Amino acid sequence: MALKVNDIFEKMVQAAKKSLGENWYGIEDLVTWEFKKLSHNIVDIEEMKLNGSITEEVAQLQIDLQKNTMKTMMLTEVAIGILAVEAAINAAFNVVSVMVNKAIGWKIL
Amino acid sequence: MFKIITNKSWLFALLILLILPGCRLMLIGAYDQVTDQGIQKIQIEVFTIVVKMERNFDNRTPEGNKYENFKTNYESIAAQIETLIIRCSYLPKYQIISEQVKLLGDNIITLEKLNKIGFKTKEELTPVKSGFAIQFGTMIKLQNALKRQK
Repeated sequence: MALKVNDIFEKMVQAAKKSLGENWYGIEDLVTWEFKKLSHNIVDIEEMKLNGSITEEVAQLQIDLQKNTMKTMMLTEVAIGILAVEAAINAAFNVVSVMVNKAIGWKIL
Repeated sequence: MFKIITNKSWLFALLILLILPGCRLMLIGAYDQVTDQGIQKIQIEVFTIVVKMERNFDNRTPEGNKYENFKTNYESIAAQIETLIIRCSYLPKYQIISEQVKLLGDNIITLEKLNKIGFKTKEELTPVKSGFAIQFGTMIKLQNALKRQK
């Protein structure tokens, strides 16, 4: 049965949504294009298999490359999420430190 | 009630401890120009291989895609990957970037294996090129995010 780009894409999105919960909406725009491209790549590999132009060994290597690409992509999203948390904590602290230092009259915080 | 207060106190104390020493919390390593430029140099070298192969198909000279013609390129890239992995392992809070460089290295080994088997058509290069484009793109996206943090 021939694979369809949209079917793969939807399944990827659903799995990511389920796994990330509310956090998915923070990275949705960032990963949608990459998910779509990866879905296309998987369909391209399947088409080559159907045409008989690649062996199982080549197909496996091609899929391994796509899997590693996806892992790299998800690591970027994780890191960007961490940076967002870091920025939020630092912003909150900066606000408090300005208030406290002003009230005390010394720059101690 | 006591438990809630205790939990909140813990969180507050932890935040203060994390923030006070440098007055700036850092959960992930700072931008490193050498790593960023290293990734971009590898990107150019990988795409030089892939584009050369595509052109060999376009020019009807697929014999130019023999592994032997690119062996030294793969060796040079492998050395650069190793150098980057060592650098990242010594940079504080660089585990995520280090893992990305390892995954990139794995993909370059896969490209080398595919080249050894031999690309029969230009179409075989399409998912490879696209996969690397996404991989380098997301790595550079993170490098740019680290720059803003500086």
